[in-house]
Amino acid sequence: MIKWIVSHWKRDTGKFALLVIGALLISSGLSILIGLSESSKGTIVNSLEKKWNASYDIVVRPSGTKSETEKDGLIDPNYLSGLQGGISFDDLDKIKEIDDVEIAAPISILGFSSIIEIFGEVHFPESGIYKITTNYVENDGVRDYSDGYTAYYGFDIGLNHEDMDIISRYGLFASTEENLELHGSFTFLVAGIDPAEEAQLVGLDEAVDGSRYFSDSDKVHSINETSQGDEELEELGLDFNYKRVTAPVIMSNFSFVNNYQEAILEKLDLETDLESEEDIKEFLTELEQNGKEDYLDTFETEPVETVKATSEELHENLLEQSSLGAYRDLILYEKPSPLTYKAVPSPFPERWNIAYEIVPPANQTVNIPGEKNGDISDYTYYTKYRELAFYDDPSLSRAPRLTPDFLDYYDPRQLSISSDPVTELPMETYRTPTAKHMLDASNSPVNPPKQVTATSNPFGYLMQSPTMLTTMEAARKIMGEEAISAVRIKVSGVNSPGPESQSKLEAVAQEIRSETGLEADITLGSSPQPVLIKIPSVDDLDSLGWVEQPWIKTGESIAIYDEAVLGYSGIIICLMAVAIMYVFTTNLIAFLSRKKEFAVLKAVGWRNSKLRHLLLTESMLIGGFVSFLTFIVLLILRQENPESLSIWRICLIICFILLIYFVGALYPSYLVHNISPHQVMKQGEVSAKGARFGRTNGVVSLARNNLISRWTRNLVSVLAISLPTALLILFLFVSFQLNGVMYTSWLGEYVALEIGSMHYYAIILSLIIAIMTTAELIWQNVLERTREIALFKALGWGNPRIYMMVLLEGAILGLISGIVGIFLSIGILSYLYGDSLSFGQWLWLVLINVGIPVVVGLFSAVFPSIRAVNIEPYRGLE
Amino acid sequence: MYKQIQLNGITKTYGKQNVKTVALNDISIRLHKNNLTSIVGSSGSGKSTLLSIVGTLEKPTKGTVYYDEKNISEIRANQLSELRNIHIGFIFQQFHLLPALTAIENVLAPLFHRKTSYNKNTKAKELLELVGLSDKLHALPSQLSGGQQQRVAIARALIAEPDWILADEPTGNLDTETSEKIIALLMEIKQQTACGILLVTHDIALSRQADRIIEMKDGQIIADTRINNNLVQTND
Repeated sequence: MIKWIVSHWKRDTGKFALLVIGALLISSGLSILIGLSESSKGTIVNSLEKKWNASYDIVVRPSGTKSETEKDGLIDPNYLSGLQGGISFDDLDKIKEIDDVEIAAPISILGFSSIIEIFGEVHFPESGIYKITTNYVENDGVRDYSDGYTAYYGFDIGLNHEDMDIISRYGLFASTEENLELHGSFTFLVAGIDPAEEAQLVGLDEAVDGSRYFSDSDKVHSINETSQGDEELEELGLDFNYKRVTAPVIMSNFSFVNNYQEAILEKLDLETDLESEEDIKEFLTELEQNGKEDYLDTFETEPVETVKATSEELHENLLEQSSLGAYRDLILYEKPSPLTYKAVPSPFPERWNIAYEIVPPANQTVNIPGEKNGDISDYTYYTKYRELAFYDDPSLSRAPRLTPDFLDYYDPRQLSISSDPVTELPMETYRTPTAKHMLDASNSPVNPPKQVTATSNPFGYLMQSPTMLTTMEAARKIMGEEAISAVRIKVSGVNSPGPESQSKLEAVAQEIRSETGLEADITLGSSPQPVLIKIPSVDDLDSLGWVEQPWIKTGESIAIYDEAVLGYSGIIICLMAVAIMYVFTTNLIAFLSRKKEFAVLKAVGWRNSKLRHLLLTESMLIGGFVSFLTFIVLLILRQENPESLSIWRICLIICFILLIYFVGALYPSYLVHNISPHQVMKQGEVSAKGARFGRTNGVVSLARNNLISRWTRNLVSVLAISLPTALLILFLFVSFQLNGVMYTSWLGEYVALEIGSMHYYAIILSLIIAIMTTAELIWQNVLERTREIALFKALGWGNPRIYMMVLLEGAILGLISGIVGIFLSIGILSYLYGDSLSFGQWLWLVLINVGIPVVVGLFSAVFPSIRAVNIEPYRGLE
Repeated sequence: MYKQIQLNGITKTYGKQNVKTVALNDISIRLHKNNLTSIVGSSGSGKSTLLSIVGTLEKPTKGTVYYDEKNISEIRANQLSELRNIHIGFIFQQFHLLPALTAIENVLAPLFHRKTSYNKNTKAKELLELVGLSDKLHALPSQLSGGQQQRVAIARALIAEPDWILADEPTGNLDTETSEKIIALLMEIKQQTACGILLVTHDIALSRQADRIIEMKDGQIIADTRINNNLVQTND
């Protein structure tokens, strides 16, 4: 039997070549796509792991801390810094006891402290009155925020610098030293962590500069210092009552704040040179009478010296002075405070489909018991985007003190956290979030967009990351039992995002929720998503306009994973369906073209079963060939990525291909029954039989009736064309039109760019197979009508008309496929997305759905039409 | 070994009720293996249809066909194939050789996957020798002339050592000279193999060489003539 079939093929090389091309297309298509889909799945998982992986899987927050924005699945990247405790140590213990919780790292945002730092010095060159203008400037990328003062110094003019009355009498300080140290004030964030857990979570122990990390021998002391009950102090009018906590600290050696401190020394150009005591006395009297500083302000000045310290220098000074134990009395003053957002319409919805506006609390006043109530806009906070929150009250007398026991520096850049600069996930405690200033207050684009950074403002719109870290023990002493702001959890056995990880994390998160009543959110597989945020006008400051900030879209990678898996399953199913149709068609056509041959064989006494056997064996031989090729290709692909493509899977694919070829041969072998051996007695008529639809009076109606007379086989090509077209529509819509998951977040965009093109390759492959299928069918139609076409030519039809007829046949097939495809894609789209298609989308859908199939149909008809034109007219007369 | 084929009241119609064509109208006839019977008639007279029904290629609309005592209307398609394969050899006007097979492969086609008491290949070669094509064993049909193709078809009809050979206008596509040679060949085969031959033709001259001539018109037998009385007579 096999010998018979092979010799058959050998003698009809043209047909065999066509078979091989089809087989190659199917095998290469299937194997490459399956291989690619596997490695693409690998790509997704890899990129999730490497670029978007948060260092923790679940974050636990106090209940009631969910922002409005989380309804959209979006979390403010900076949310951790705004949480002021709320989780108890009991809760932490409960969490730690849950199975599969590998690391539970608590963090306590203790609040802000200010320190006075020496940032430089100036030299008075000679005696005289000097003006020093000190300016502390921070820049958030949009504008400068400065805080400065002016002071006057009398150098070497015989005033006693220890006499405190001088300043109130004359409005100037006295100096006898040539050098004057300059002081600046800095605000930074202090947080408590669990050293052991933090070491496991982010490798904090590895990021310390020297070798001194937190250890068990570090002691935390706490004492209460109060004026109450101390008569001496009370008599002096002092009233204080605070807790002083002595605790080990490490400090970040990197400042994320963009600031500088500047001092300008100027000499006042006085009429007198103040050389004699009389001159000095006269001038001081003048000064006292004419309004002190205001009087000094009226004089011309002459610049002497300018001193400036950059961010780096300032931070270096801070560290140096800390390490030397310069700060014994850090007052924890401001508490962390969250931002409130409200959803607003996006000014450019095409670019940012989600926009929020910060809602600053209105008219913030502070209420100090027993003292005056009033506006506190005079306080040094530049802008109050957040609700003001303090330890006790702004008078400092009850705010807790931290006496730092400095251990070492740590470098936040050396922590083992995601640090791809292009795609940074800002969900880390240790990284200050960034934003870009995109639109100004009048919604005009900022060109080029400016990078926006955090300032040291405790109530600003971007919050700095902690500069000083201490232990949870210290945090407990300072804030009490509910000191923990958040717990970051790592679950054992969860390495990469995916359905299994997801269900495990869900289970752990659910257990945390039910055990503790806290909020537990899965952060593994989150993606940054650009969100537009309006920075409103606050206090005296105008609105900054809009900044774009990468927010955390939770569950994103799972969604993308699902989407990708869905996409690939769809693609593979489509390709397989098209492959089945192709195999079915080729088998059917092989059968049709050999119908007469089979009739002869039946006449000479072949049984149906023998013919069936022949057809099945033939099909299985091709199937075997295809499987063999596929097997080889998959093996080669496997070499590159052995894990993703198991042998078992390859075998499954091979079995599937064999099954296609088996199923494809079933229908023709069933049709064998219908062949009457009597047909060999017939003297081929021009048209045996045919259904008709309307009158035939032109090329169009002729093509139409040709199609209708062979409607069953044409139905196959209609399906073969419409299926990939409908799928193409689906992918186009998912990717571009419906702003599906893919293009709204950066991860989705990345994935779409990396692997989305594969979708289109697959569709194109499907369409090529569809072209082959249709071409074969039309070819067969032409073949069967050889005599008819020859007759038309004999009757004087020109070649253009023959071309026209066959091409029209293809185009009509395409058109019908398009209409079928429209229904198909509408069905799929409305199932997936509901009725949310706009008119424009409908228009596209119809245009694509009709355009592509017609093109496919026309392409398919090209070769058959050439063949039809080449039919010699005499053939009809044979 | 079937010695005679008997048709009783055979009617064959084509098409649906409103456009019915009657190809055969109540025909009863008995054919004997010893005869070379020719069926003549103009085109459309039903002679080819009669041959199809005799050769079990088609089933009659009405009536029964007996191979000796066996009513073949009652047997199933697979058994009919079997019957054709073993007992009947066909020769067609258009030869109907399988284009992808060589001469000898075409001859062997009916025996494909069938066990025989004799050596199939030797037999096929003998037969091709008999039809005068011993030098064309491995030629493809397209490399053969019409007459040669028909000889291959004859060899194919003989390969299974049938009881009957049914030939439908075997010379219809051939020129006169070749036709005569083919008929002579058939006569020779008749002598050698003692099989019954049923020959459909519209060529009166050819039909004269038969033992019995059945003339048909409009689906009916209008004459049944025995020409050579040397052979055993059969009475209807």
